[in-house]
Amino acid sequence: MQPAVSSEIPHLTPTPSDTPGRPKRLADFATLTEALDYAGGADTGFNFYSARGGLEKVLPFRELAGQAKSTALRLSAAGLTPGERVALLAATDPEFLILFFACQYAGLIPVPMPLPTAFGRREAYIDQIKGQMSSSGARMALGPAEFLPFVREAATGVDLALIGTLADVTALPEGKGDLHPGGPGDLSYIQYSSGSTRFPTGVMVTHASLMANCFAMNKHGVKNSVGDRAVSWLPYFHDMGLVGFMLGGVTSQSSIDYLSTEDFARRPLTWLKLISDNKATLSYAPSFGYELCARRVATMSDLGFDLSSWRAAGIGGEMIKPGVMRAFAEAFKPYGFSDKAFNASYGLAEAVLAVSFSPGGKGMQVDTVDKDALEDHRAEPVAEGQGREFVACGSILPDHTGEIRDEKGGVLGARRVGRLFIAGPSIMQGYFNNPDATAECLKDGWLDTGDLAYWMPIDGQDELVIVGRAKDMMIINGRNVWPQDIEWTVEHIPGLKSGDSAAILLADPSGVERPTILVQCRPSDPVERERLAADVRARVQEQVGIVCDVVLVPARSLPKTTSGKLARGRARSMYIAGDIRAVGVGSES
Amino acid sequence: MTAAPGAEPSPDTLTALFDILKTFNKTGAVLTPGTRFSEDLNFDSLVVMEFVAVVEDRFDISVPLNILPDIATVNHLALAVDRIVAENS
Repeated sequence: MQPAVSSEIPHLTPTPSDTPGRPKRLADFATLTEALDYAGGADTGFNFYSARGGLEKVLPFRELAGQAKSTALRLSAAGLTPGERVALLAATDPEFLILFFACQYAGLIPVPMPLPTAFGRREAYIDQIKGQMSSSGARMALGPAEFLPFVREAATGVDLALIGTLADVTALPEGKGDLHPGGPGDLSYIQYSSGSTRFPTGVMVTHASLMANCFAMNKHGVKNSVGDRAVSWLPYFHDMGLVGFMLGGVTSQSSIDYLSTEDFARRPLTWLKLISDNKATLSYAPSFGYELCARRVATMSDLGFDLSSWRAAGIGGEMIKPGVMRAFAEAFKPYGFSDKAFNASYGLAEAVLAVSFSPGGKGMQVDTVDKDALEDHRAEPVAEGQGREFVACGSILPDHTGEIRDEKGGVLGARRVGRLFIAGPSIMQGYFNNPDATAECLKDGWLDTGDLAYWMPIDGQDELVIVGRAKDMMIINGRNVWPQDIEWTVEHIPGLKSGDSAAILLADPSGVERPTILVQCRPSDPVERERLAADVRARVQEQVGIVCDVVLVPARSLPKTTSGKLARGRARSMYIAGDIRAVGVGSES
Repeated sequence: MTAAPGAEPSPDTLTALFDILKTFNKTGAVLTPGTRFSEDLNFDSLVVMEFVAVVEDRFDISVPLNILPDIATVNHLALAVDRIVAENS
C-alpha cells in the first residue's frame, strides 16, 4: 500500500458502530424525518474516506439532523413550498446528505442526479440531467461547485430559482418560518435511476413505502443488529446506494463508511481496506464490483486485510455472475473472507429497493438448468456444468407478495419461467407526471417488474431466481441502458432512419450477455458497409457510453408490430433462430 | 509548462500516456494525439476509471471528475495532465 497522503486529517475519529444504552430501532418510523430525529440522538453516523482509505470527513447523525433543519428553513424562506422538487447532484459527500434531508424537513422532494463518469460525453451527460430536471419540474438545482457549469448548461428552458452549492443556500436568511416535514403519504423523493435518457421516468417514493422497505430490509433482509456497521461505494443516484446503504443506515442508526464511487472505480481494493480497517459487517455491490477487486488483487502482494468481520457480502443490482463471485471468494479467502457471506438479493427502484433477500450465512445457492428447456420457459435442473447457472435471490420479503405469471396472466408454480409481479407496501406510487408509463407497469395493485423469473424450492421455501428481462432495459456493468436510446442514436446517423435498428442483448457461449445492434443496411459495397458498422459503433460509444457488437442485416428485415413500431423481442428471436441473417460485412468488437 | 488553451502538451506527457495506453489498447488502434478514448479505444466508464487511476499514479496527481466530459482525445488529456502538474508545483 502507498503511504498516507497529506490531505488526511489525523485527529478525525470515525463514528462508533453503536450507541451504548440507546435501543436500536429498525425503521419502525412513520416518516424519514422521524427516523433522522431518532438517529440524531445516537453517536453513530456517516464517515467519508479518500481513495487510499484515509478518513476525511465525519458527519454524525446528530450533526446531519441539525444542519438539515437549519438548511430546510432557508429553503422555505427562499420561497420553496412543500411538494416542490429540488434537483441534487449526487456526489458522495456530506453536502448531498445535508441537502437531501433539508428537503425532507422542508417538505420538498429531492431528485438525485448523476455525476459524469466518462471521457468526452459532455452532450450526453447534459441531455441526461436536463431530462431529469425538466421531467421533475425542479425549482432549484444544487450540488458541488465544480459540476454546476454542466447544470447551468442543462438548465436552459428549465425555470430554476437557484443553481448553487450548499454554501449558497447556507448564505440565505433562515427566515421565521417552521419546518414542514411530510407525512407518511407524502413523497420523500423521486428517483430517476431506471429511466431512459430520452424518455425519463421518475419513481415516486412516499415516506410510508420507504419505511416499509427499510424495515423489511433491515429486519428480515440483512437482519441488522447491535454491532453492525456498513461500508458503501454505491452512488446516491442509484437505488442501491441511496436506499440500500444510506437511508437503510439512517433508519437503523447504523454507521456507514463511504468511499466515493469514482474512487472505488479507480482503487477498488480500498473498498475492502475500509471493511478490514473498520471491522464492517455489511457491504453490498453488483457483481462487477467484486469482479474489479478480483482482477486487481491478482497484481498485488499481501494486502494485510482481515475480512473475517464481513458477514453479509450482498450481491444485487444486475444479473449475478456465479463465476465472478467464485473467483472473488477464492482470491480473498487468504484474507479471511468466507463465501458463506455472499447474500444474493433482488430489487428495483419501483419497489423502493429490496424485494427478496437470501436467508444469510449460507452463501450463494446456484441452480444449474437445462438451456433448451429454458427456451421453453421451464427451469429443469441438470448436473453442474451441463447447463446455465443462475443464483437464487431468496424469498420475497414479509408483507410483500410475488407472482410469476405466464403470457396470459396465469399464475405459475415452481420451476416455470414467467414474468414477475409484486405487491406490497414498498411499491411506488407511479412515475412522476407520466400516467402512461405508470399504467404500463402498475395494474390492480401489482407492479410488473419486467423481469423473467422462476421459483426454486429450497428447504421448503420458494426462492426467487431471475433469468433476465422481459422488458427491454439492459443492465450493462451496473448501468441501466435502454434500447430506445441506442436506436435513437443509431437512427440519427446519415443514411439511416427511424426503424432501421434494433438494440438487443445476446448471450455469448459463456452466458455473458453482450449488447448487440442489428442495423438495416442498404449499401452493397463492402467498404461502405464496413464504414457504416464502424460509424454505428462509434456513435453508440460516444452517445450512450457502451461498447456493442454491430450486425448489419438486409433492408426491411427487421419485424414491425401492427402499429408500425419495431418488434424488438421478435427481432431478437428471429436473429437467434437464423431467420434474419447478417449481410457480408458486419463487425464484432 | 503552460495551461493556455490551444497549447501543445509536453512531449514527455504524450509519450507517457502512449506508454500507459499500450495495455488499454484492446482495439489495436494506432495511437496518436488525436486518438479518441471512446470512439477509437472503446473505453467504457469502468475502463475510463481504471485508466485514470494509472495516469494519476504515473504523474502523482488527482484528475477531477468534472473535466472528463471535455476530454475526448489523448491530446486533451495530455494538456489536462500538464495543467494539473503545473498547478501542483
